[in-house]
Amino acid sequence: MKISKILLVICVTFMFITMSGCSSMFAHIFGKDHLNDKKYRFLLFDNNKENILYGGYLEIHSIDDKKFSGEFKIIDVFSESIPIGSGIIDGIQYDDRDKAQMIMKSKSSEEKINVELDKTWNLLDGKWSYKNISGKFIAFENN
Amino acid sequence: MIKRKVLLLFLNFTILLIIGLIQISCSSVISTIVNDNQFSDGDYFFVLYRSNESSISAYGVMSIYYMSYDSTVTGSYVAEYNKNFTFPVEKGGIIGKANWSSGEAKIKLGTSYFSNVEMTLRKDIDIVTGDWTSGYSSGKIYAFKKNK
Repeated sequence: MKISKILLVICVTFMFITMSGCSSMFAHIFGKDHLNDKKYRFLLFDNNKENILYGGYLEIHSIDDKKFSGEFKIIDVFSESIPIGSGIIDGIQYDDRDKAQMIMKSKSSEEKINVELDKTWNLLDGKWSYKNISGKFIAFENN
Repeated sequence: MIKRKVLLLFLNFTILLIIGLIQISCSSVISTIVNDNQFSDGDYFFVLYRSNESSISAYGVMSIYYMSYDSTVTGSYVAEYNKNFTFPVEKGGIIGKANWSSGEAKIKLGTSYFSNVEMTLRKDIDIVTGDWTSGYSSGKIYAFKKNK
């Protein structure tokens, strides 16, 4: 009887250990933590994906089930086509939590960059557009 | 009565053991997929940042080839942007060794005259990250598959 109880305790402990490992793995894969409230470096490429037009930082402060918000600052300017220096981010996560949309609004004007994200893993990968210009958008965690 | 209790405990034990075994096999399969730390051959867009600097130091494209028989990494690079000679030469070759058991590839970039740019690259799911040194400068590198 005692042995059975000990075995049961061992088994339950073992189950919790494996469950915690497994669930974190599943959460990572199926999107509970896809958009993190972290600092990212971002890059805006030209349409041919050959050259960087802008580079900077973005930070996501708050994420609820659907919406998220944050701030951004452009640091590297290799083009003069977008008159935005820094501003705020407003975004929506789609039901397919890999995908999201965000608007990068200027602090000082009405100008804004639209970003459609196809991937929100450790790499935020998608497309940006501003008026009639567009290109590839990439952001990665700022370690 | 005691027999029934023992039987119930044994049943509990068996069920929990089966659940545990399923979870172990499941997590090992997933970890094999997720922790695949060997990055593949191809063209990578790279960006270099110096330590303690916010702006980009260099960016360009590197083509990486991995030879599995001796773990050699070879290739070439072109720096499209090269602030303050981060790369002594803007076009050159790549040579190095991969050690996938530790999840790293150590490479040197340059020519036969200048090869003082050294990098340690690690795969992190969709991105290759790492550290670089060039003379007295050092910093972080981020690279991602160009065709993505």
